[in-house]
Amino acid sequence: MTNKPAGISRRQLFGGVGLTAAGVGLGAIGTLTGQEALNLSGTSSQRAFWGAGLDAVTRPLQTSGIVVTFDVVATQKSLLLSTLRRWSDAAAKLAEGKAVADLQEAETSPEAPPEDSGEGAGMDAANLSFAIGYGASLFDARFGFDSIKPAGLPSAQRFGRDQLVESQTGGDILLLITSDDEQVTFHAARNLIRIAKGAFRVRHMQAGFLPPEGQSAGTARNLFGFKDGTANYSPKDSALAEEHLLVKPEDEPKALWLAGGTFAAFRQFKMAIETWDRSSLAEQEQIFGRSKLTGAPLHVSNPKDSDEFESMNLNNAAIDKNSHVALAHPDSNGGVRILRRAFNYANGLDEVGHLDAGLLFFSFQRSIEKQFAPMQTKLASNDLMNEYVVATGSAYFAVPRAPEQGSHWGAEFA
Amino acid sequence: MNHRLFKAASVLAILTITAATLTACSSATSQTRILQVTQTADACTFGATSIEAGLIKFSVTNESENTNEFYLLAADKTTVLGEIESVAAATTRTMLKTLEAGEYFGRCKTSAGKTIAYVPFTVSGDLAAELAETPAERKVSDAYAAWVTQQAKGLLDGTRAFAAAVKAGNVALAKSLYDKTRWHWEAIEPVAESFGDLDPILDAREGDLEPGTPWTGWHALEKQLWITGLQADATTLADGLVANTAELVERIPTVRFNVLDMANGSKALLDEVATGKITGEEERYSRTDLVDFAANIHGARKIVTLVSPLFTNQDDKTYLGDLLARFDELEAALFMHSADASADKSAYVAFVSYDELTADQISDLAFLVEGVSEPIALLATKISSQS
Repeated sequence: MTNKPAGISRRQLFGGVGLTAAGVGLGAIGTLTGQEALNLSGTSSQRAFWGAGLDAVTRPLQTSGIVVTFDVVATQKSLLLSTLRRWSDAAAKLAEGKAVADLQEAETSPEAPPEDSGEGAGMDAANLSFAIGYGASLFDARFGFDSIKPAGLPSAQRFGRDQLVESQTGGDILLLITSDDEQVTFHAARNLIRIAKGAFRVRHMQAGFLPPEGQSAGTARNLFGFKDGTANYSPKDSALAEEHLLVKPEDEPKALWLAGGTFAAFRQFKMAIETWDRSSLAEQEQIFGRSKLTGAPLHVSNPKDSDEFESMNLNNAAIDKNSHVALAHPDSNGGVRILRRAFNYANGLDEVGHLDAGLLFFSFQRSIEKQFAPMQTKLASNDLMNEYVVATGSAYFAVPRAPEQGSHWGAEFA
Repeated sequence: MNHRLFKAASVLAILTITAATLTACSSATSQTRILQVTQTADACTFGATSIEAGLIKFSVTNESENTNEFYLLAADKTTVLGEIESVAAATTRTMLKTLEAGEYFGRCKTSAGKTIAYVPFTVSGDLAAELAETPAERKVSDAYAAWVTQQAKGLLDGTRAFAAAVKAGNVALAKSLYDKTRWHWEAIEPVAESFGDLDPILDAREGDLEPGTPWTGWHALEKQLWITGLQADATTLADGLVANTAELVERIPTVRFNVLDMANGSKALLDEVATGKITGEEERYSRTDLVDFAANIHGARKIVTLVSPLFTNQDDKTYLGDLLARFDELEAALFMHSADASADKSAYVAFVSYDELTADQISDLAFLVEGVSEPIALLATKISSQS
């Protein structure tokens, strides 16, 4: 994973476009040629932070991710802005594999606590990436941001049988931190949390994991043991990204800062692991509409591993109308597509002694109202899987493009 | 990983006796001398009994089966210059201290209060002249000394009035003067606590003392006023409180404050809030913890304000602005619980009882305290990097 092949990466595709508020250059997003590769100035395991566009949410999935949501406790706009600025400076250093403050220099002040906690010392940057998101609650009357609130950013939403936990629901700010190494991800989260002390208070924090790329054939498996998200589109496909992922200036005339960015829907699902493990293979496969072993649609007879990507025929009798795939597939959603990115999570035991494990689900899209919400509404009512999952967390965030060099997170609010 | 990353953060003494110790700008970069101290159940052994002046690392290894403490004392055997709390059995903890030539004592004791031994040692040689304060720093530390003197006077005047009310049996008046007077103590708490002989006589809480030591001072009277009613020894306690406070106030002008000590003191004040006030442990009977809380915060903010002219480069000014913004947030939330949210925060204001706070309110305040504690822990380094 640390040896990316040369050539066009998603970062190059989405990075460095230099989008202005008026949307100049939007057309350049899909340009594959003539785009200068960003100078990574280091090893191939570093992702650029400045000017990286939406790389953090469009790059290949990584083995480690931490979701942290924050409540802004600060009442002074200046403190909100200075904290966001310090965050982005720290994130840029971390993305280069550096500490947030020089560890050598700390050695010369033994009486002071080191500004960086140190557990990342000597480690690779591990493709550490940061996405920031802003929730609807940040645009309330507190800071006067209501005039630049994205029209398409709803408050946290409850669907069907959700059993939402307050801390896992909503939040003013989202950080989605991902890398190829759990310790690197944690180190980044911990030091950003520390910087925010007294200004942004952690509302929810959950670490997730995925198998290493290449070690899981095809789509990564969730903790039900199934390949989920096989029909996900590649954001490398610029036409699809333009249509389904990227917010256009005309979508958000009041919030031009979000142009070229996207909307995130977060859902935390707890799985009924024990009861699932006691359900029959036939029931499990009926629920997903796929073969457990290969991921192939159930209508494929004698499937091989490569049949995972065999096209799904939702009209085939083998596919239950209320199976997860039948309800979530673009073919049954009027061609609407979401960019699905999920991590598995496990937290030891819950209060009754069951495994506390499930899915940290993110969907990225141009419109929550037109893309995510209708699909989730349908799933919440009919998905056969609902017997084995319960949503405990739900939130929406507006995710802007990464800041350009010389700018910083929160510049849109200044 | 250098173990200094995990250095004990329990150096509480913030003032230094003239010609006894100095902590200064380049102290952190000068060569470190190491003084090994080994504690057993009944002995306290020093690796050397004489050491060169400069930055000294006390490396205290506890070979007993108890949890122990180590105190660094001045030649008077009472003034606490530094301490390491909670050295668990079979562990080593360290403390850095810059010492000038002179006689000192190390005191090894168990956390339960039993003294294992006092060990004398000598520091010889001169600290380089450059360790002295610059004129700008001197101006700041003089201003702080003047402010501390002013608080000490307020403390003594208030203590006299409080003691008179106790002796007259006027419980209502004594109660009303209790938190008002203690405000001054709490605003300069690290200074007051540095008089190792007077602090336990004046400010010990029930159970803090070595077995057999009589319990005196503020909290003994607090219990009588709020719980048991005034007892036969109330007059003796009140007289002792005045006499010992008078001695403490008299000694304050003899000490020198340097700017780094001030910075460490501001951190110590926030630590006091985090460990004693936010938990409601300080004022067990009167429940006036929030008054102490406000006083600690004010004492820390006073120091930050005084040292702020020393900050010259833009990054450090940004740091300072951020720190003060965090103080604003904390004060705004804290004073929501006061009699007057818009009151002058540099003087006593009445607060609700600690018991009236909900768990959520306590947790909100604790978060804002952390918000100040994080940057204030860097204040000393920021000051030393100015010169």
